[in-house]
Amino acid sequence: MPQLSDYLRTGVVLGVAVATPLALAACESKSASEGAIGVTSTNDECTLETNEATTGAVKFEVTNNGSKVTEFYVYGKNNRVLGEVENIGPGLKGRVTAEITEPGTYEVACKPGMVGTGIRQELKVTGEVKEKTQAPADVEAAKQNYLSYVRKQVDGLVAQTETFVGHVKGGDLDAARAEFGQTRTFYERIEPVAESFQDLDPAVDMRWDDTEDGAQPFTGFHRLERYLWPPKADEVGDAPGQIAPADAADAKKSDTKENIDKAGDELLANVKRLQTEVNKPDFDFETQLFVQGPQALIDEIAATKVGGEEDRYSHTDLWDFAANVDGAETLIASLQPVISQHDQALMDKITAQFADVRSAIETLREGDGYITYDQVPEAKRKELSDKIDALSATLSKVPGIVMQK
Amino acid sequence: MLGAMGVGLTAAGVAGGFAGGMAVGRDEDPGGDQTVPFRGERQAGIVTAAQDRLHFAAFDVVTDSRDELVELLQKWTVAAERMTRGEETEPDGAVGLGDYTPPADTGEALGLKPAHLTLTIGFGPGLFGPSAAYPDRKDRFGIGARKPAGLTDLPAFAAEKIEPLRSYGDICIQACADDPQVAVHAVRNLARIGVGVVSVRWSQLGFGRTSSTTRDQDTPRNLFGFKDGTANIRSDEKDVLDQWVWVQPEDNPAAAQWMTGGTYLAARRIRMDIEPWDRANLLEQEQIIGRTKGEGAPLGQEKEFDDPDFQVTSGGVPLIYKDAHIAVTNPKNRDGVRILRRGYNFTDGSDGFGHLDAGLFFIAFNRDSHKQFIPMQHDVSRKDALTEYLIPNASAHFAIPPGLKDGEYWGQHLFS
Repeated sequence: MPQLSDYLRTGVVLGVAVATPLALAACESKSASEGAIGVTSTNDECTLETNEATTGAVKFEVTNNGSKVTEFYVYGKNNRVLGEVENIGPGLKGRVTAEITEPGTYEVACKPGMVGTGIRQELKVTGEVKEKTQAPADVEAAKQNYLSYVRKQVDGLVAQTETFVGHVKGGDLDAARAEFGQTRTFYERIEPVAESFQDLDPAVDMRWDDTEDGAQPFTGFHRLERYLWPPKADEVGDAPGQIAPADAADAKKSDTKENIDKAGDELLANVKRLQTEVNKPDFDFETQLFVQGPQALIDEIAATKVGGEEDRYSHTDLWDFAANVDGAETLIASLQPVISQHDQALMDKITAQFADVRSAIETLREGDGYITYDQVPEAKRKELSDKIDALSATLSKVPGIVMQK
Repeated sequence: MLGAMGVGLTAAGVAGGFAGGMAVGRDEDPGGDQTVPFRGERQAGIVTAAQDRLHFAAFDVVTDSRDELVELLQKWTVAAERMTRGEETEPDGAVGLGDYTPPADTGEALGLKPAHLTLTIGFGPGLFGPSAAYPDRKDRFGIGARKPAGLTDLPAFAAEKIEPLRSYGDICIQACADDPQVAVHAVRNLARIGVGVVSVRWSQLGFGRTSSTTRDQDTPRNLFGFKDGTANIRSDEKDVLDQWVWVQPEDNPAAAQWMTGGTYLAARRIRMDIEPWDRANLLEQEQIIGRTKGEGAPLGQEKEFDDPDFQVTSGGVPLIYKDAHIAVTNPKNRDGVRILRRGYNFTDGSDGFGHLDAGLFFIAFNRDSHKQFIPMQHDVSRKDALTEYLIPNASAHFAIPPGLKDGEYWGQHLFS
């Protein structure tokens, strides 16, 4: 989607894709083809059955009569994508629904070959202004509260990363090692928001596994982590939890002072970009991601962290665990009045299960931080995993509770 | 394992008598709609005609709250009964609960037939307090006094390599169906519903039933290629079942009467040394088992259901060696003791050497494992020539309560 800024936010795109079913669920059938505007895309033409529509959920059914794979977009102001359907093969159909709330002139585009700005057509939309389908007001208010938390965390992230990268570049590696877990905490707390920046997040938080065995550049926190904790011979292997041989070989070859300084500068630049993005007045975080954020954070732990893959060089995983739990608890705190209003028993259960997870992590404290994850035995990992699964299952009920009208 | 088959074998006399082939229909499927009734005097999945597929799961209970556990058993009962009818875990559970709610049914069984799904629950020794496998356990649910004496962990047997993380368990669910997706769907959803109260400790998929539990089923073959369970106990042998499978009132004191009408399940994951076995010549294979591979007849006899004769010799050597599998396990040599076998073959892919990780997931039901299964298994482990080709690596023992009356939930008589 080259129309969007470099730092494309999933939130924006999802916002469209998701807002629509929300509207439909409330009042209409989900069948996209009924009442849809037919669009025919060929290699050099984009023909609309009609160039007029009325405000509300506007549906399109796109037929590809060309020989190239095509895409279809609906644009709002500033080329903002209101709806899109991609990868429609020759002879096939694609359907998309865009929520258009205000009358006016809009653009749509077919994009045969999936390149360039596409073959544009105008769409005149008439009718009354419709209210944008949105979550209940209390949820929106909770989200605004949460966004100010996110901004503060990102401020902390930038400050800590500056210090951390400074120590790495200045050669004070012991100080850098001591700061690593704490620095990541700010990022892990707001992971659902960070992840909504589709290319910023990988640049900051990618793992070796995302490099296609070194074919893609290895950047971000974990690159610096590998430099600070160089893979030891007995940690290298193909078994789960081990450092891949290609990873270790790449570390030997590429983790030079010069390369690492560059990676540090990039990391700092990227977290500053994140700061700029979340401080923009029109920054928004898709409500669906917001309400499922607590579960998403906990599932971050469940999916990979309990296996110890995240911080495989430093084994500082417990810092990330704790930060994900912090972030999830903050999200829940912002939603708590809404949850309690609908289902106090659920809120009580969430509170109890957070305490349970928290106390399990607390037993692994050491000084100001945590023991390294390689010291956590399998049985304890399973126990943590069970508690995290239980919390996640409970949190999965939150969106259905808070999004009800 | 095969041992039990031998046990069933002596039945030769008995089974032979029935071999005349009376076709007992699937009386578990009165409506012909692939549904096995969930409720009844006994739990389904024991004498039910053995289905083709298995998903067996063992859970550890992770809560200390009796109320939470009972609530889960109640929820499970509702979901299980619905699933055995081919329904979702709850009405409209898969897609009808709204956009922002995780579906209450995972959906992969939508549109599939019930496939004779049976769900059978059992309770392990650790649920009641400390046991050999769970020495630090407390009596978390106040049921220690209700533990039947027979419900211990299985003892250590010779020549086994037990892996604790795929052994034991506080609760087991045996899901059997003719469609593997139906069985997996059932276990998956029960595990999903149980999150926070129970945690899956291990689970095992099985295929190709290795036993017949009714007369109209042919004797299947195990992965050694031999007919297995020729003379298993059959569902219509009421007296035999009462003697060898169902727990009787006199077996337990008042506190453990909840087990009357139930049975004990012994499970063993028995990996076979497939590749060495495949390189053994036919004569050796038949001598180890004590049967012909093609017909399944005892050596020296002609037909599968012929009575084995351990006295027959050739050139002074017994036709059936003393360490042949059927010689060790035959009820003739075991005072007529029998068990009900209901195991499945398994193949969990290959190991790092390219060898099949395959074998028999042995399941047996009996009235008293300490008098029936355990002594037999000791003899198999110590004396049976077949043991050379076997690596038992998981072991579990569960008390299987009787069936449910209308309105009852799983474990009600244990917890009430």
